[in-house]
Amino acid sequence: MGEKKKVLLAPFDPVHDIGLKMIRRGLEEAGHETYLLPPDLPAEEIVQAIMDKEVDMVLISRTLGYGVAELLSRFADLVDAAGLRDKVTLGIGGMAIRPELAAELGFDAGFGPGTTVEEAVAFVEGREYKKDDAGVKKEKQDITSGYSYKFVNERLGEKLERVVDLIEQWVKDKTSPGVRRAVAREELWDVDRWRNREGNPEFDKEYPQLCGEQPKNFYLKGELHPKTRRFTREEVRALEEFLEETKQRIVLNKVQHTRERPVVFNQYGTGCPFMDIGHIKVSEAWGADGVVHFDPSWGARTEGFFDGFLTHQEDGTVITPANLNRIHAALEPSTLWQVRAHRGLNTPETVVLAGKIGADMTKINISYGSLSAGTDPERLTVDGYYAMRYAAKYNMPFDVVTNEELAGVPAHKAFAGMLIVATLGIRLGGRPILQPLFAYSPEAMIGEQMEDNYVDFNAAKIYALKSIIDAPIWPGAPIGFLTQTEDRVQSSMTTGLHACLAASLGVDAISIASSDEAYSGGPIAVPSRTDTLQAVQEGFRFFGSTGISPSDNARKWGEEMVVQIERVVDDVIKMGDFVQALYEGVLGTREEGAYPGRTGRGTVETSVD
Amino acid sequence: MALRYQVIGIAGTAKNTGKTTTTNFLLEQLKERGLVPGLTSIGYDGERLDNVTGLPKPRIPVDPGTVVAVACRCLPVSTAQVEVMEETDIGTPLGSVVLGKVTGAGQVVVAGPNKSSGLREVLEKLKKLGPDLILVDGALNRLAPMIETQGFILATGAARTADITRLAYETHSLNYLFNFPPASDNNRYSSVTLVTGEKRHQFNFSSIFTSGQLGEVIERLSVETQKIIIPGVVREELWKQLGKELMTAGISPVICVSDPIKLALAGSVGNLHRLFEELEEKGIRIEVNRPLPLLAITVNPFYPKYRFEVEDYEPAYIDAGQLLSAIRKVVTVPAVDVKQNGRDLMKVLL
Amino acid sequence: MSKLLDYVMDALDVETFLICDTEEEGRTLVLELMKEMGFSDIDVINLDFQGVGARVRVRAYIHRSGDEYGWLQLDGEANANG
Repeated sequence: MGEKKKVLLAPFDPVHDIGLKMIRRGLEEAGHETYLLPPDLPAEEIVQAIMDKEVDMVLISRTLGYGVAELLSRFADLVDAAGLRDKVTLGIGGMAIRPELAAELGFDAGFGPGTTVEEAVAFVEGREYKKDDAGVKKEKQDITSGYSYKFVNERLGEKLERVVDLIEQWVKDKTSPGVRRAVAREELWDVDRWRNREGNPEFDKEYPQLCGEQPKNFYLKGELHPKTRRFTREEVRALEEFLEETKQRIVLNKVQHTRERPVVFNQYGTGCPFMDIGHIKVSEAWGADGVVHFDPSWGARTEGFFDGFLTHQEDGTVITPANLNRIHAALEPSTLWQVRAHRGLNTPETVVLAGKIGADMTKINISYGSLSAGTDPERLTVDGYYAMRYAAKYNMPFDVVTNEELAGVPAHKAFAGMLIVATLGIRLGGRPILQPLFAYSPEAMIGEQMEDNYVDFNAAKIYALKSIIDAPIWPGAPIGFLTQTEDRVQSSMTTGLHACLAASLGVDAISIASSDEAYSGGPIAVPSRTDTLQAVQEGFRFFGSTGISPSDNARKWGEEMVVQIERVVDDVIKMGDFVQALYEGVLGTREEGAYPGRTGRGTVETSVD
Repeated sequence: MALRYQVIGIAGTAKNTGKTTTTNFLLEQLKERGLVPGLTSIGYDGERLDNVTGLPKPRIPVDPGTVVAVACRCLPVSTAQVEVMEETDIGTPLGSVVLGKVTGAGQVVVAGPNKSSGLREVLEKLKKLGPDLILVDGALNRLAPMIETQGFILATGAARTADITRLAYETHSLNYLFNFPPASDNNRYSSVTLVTGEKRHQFNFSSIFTSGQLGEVIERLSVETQKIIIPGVVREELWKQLGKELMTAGISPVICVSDPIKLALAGSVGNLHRLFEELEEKGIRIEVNRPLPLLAITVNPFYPKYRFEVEDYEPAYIDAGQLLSAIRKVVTVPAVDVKQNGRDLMKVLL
Repeated sequence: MSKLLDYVMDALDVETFLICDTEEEGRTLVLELMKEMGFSDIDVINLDFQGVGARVRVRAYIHRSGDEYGWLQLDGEANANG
């Protein structure tokens, strides 16, 4: 370590400050000499102590209140007028203290709430005062690292591989407008040229021809989608200023307490990229590790993307290169960014575009997308296949959602679909992440597995998946689905508890809702995001590295689930055709709420080479 | 057009007394006359909302050509475009100070050196960029670094106290404290010193903060003591004790302090004013080694009214006309309300 | 309406407890209350009536998605003091 420092600690408040005592202990452990003054001394006496003790540094603690700023700045002035200012460094800590205020008061550094002892020690030791020191150091995590993707249940694994053989065989000679747009986006669209406004003439010529009517009209006639508008130049400039200022000040929180995982994701998609950026910055500051881009529902039914920096007046933020690019630029370096591709006519192109712009992850599920999200199974099988190839190419792990459970599809059928898609993803060189729902699903309501508690059935899902394959698990999306009400305390509480269950089960990530989750009368308001992030943080603080013990039912149901999954996979093999199995309800029947989608029906083309 | 000063400060008696408004006004006046301003600060200014009260604050608009010395983290949050000319290693809580020239008009957030030595260094560098007048924007009620300027404008007003009588008296006292004559000879000592004929007795302290220190001084005083030289600060109560001692013992030396800021910082300026007047009546003269002229006073009727019941502030105003005339009656320098009759302010600079 | 509402990112929620006889009365009262405070784009998020009265949360949207946001246009509004 460097040279020993003499530090004077002075509580300016009428009572002793526990933070200052903690800092004192830290400084002494680091070998520095400290003097703690009694509280509430006049400024002159503190100045006298500086002279008597010949200290190098003074740390003052004070809660800001009426007239206090003037008292503190008079202290700084006295130190200066007494000729001591070049000999001592002045630090100030307390509620509401920020570097700007420290500058105004004439101090050398300011420490707000949440300042760590390590940070104070770094300051004393003269290591450079950086914004990063004020918050938690966060690094982007790869939640797939450390997984072998080997089947634990080898028999089921072999069966899943056989289904994947069927899919590959089926897809081999097929393509679609979605795939052709993805190829164009991949081969003809250079993101750097686009960013530099140099244009991609070949792409510009070919792309509109591959689009549906609305995007085509946009490119050829300049017509915008009726629910969107462009930002004005003034708005863009104001956003840039807002972001610059926010990035200077932002302090990142960490919600995991002593655990490394689960990584916490928030979803955004207010319709407006500006509002999204506002929400994202709030999520980051309150501890979200990642954010998920939601596009509007019509985005899944439209062949092709618009371009331009567009805002949308309803839920879901339109995917355009400019929108994604702006949002990407707004993120903190540690924030994971997922752009979901999973369900519509733009699935493979979403992956290419997100990959080129810099997304970390995407979301693909053929089974859910065609049974619950309205896309034709045949079309989505082709598109999903290529989407996964591109995800592998752009090194983007992707989760495989099982939201068809919400419609009433039993977990084991949704899981069979998810495992088939995940196995295909692995075959194509990708890194899929299993995404079981943590929800009060219709199956559990009817089957009464959740009559006593929400723990066992959710735990059963994790046990089942872990007994099948060594792969990352990310319950979602969001956790606690259908347990939330419009009461924000209830909603935050249930999210927090589901998060704790997820942590206890050792999963890798979770997606959490806002406390507005159950409110459908209007857009999600940003305070509802801090509600649930705080609830999750408090839950993680409460449990630390201990956990929740599910009952024996969890193991029992988990084992039953594996047997049922295998039966479904057997049925698919028996049918000899994955796409046909989707149409015919093997992975979820109409009675269970699974309706094979019609969007994009008849658009799959068989290539003639 | 030549100005009388190269560097002036804009100090305040409290937060929200109108420092920034005064600075902005001067910037505008300089611009009208085709003069190039230089700008720095001893604190932090230009934020949208007050750091303490949360109420909106004026920001500082600057035009191309203006030279600035600001902490590097001010630049990304300023809308003005600034071309950096020089980086320094003078540190602030917002990064080290950089010198630059404004190339695109906009608003600038100004945080500068936080101590006298830093300001001295910055001013030397800033002068080399050739501005006609450098404005040193103050912060809160801070004064100490202003010693590096050639004189200062004092912003006061309702934010200091909404009681006009008290405010007028305090301003009168400040005006008095900044008006002591310069010392007749060289008195540059680094510690408290008594001069008796050819004899110099030096103590091992420069400021008098404890009664022990004052006791040592008093013990050495005699009717022959001609001069008490004090380079640092004397605490208000100890000034009073020293004065009492001198008056009762019938000792009338010259008291030489290093600069008027050291007096203003000692405590209540009203009490010190009364004490020094009393001493002067007894023939005890006060001199300063380094005068710092008070050039003018600006008054501001605004104050943030603290609402105890909700623990926040709301904007409030006292009568501007009454305030200005009360101040004018008691000071010897021009007093203006820059929002009403700011032009008078320029007369002291031209 | 106050310029200070510009600082609200999206919505302003009011939470309180109203003494009332029925759930319906609570709903009417709280909407009236918000209108009286000058808000127009309002909605009851949550109202829990348990006989004593209603625990209620009501929301006024200040900035909806796609609007021009006051918090992005805060320049030049401030001129109160220095």
